[in-house]
Amino acid sequence: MNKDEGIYLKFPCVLRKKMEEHVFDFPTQTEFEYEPIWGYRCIEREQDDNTVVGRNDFLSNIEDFIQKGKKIKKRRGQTTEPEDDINYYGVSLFKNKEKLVNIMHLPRPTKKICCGYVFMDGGPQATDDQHVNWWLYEDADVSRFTIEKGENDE
Amino acid sequence: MNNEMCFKIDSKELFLEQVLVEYHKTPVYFVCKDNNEVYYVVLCVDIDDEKYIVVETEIERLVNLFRKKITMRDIILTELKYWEIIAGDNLSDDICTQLDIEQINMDDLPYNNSYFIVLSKEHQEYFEYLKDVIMSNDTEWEILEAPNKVINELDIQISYDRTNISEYVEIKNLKTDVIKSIMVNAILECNEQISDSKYYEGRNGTTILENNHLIAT
Repeated sequence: MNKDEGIYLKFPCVLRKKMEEHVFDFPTQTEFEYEPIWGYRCIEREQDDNTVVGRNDFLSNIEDFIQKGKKIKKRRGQTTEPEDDINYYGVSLFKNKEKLVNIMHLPRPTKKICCGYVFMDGGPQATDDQHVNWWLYEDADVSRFTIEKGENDE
Repeated sequence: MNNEMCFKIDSKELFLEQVLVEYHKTPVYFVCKDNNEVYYVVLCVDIDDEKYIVVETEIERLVNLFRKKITMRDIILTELKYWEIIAGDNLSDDICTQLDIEQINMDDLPYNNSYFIVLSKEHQEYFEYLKDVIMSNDTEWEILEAPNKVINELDIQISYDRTNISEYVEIKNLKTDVIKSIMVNAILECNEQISDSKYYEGRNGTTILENNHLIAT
């Protein structure tokens, strides 16, 4: 994956640094130019919280560690060190909402599902038949994602 | 299946067996196994503070989880004890407390009716693997025959796979007037094999197969 070095400037600092240091590169199937892809993602929301979707709902695993002031480390059950794995610098979405059914069985954290288009101006993505890994640019606007109404919503 | 050590509980080392549910690439519901082939279900109840609930389980229960015969919640509540683990930076720093299941915070558990749905090839393969493990382990099969007086009277032989009694019960030479008094779910499941099913309608919740012995009312 040879992209202009300039494009790396668009990424969040933590990823940009890794890119500039050539610690790793994007997976081979990563696309920088692509048609929009419909995706679903769990976001943390209390039942009565309908705050619109924002960039904070689309933090990568690594960004989440940093924002919460936590040490970046492998959580139990993870098999690779997140800091050394490009995938943990992207955010996960699923092409089918069905794929979120098991995680929605778990109450912690309180979640809702949002949906919308993964779009190329937001950053590159790598997709398999079910999962989208989206490396968002720092200023990506995800406000067009909408929260789905839950069973208990009006 | 994996060499990733997740916890040390007392002297037992728990290795990652299979991630069942992830939240933003973090495993939050997964299976571990120790060196004695004992299985554990792990539920992450606080991702940020890395707090976990761990219960010992049986492979048969895991199979039933995949078969939607037990919920993600009930496979935990079925046990008498659980461990509450607050993960440290290293495994040796973990704070691990064993508690009675009555002490568990029910609000932390998967919701009611939380049946695990197999959604990926990886999970399907793990399900097949679990079944293979059971099938390849002779000690997991029970052949009930002559020793039990009741069975002699009935002149039946029951062999069953503990993972799914209904699929494997075989009843031979049934004496229907005797079996009539045995109220069992397992018999209910055998209706198709029995010529006159009206004799075998048991009461819900009753069972003949208890601790691997045939019992009759």
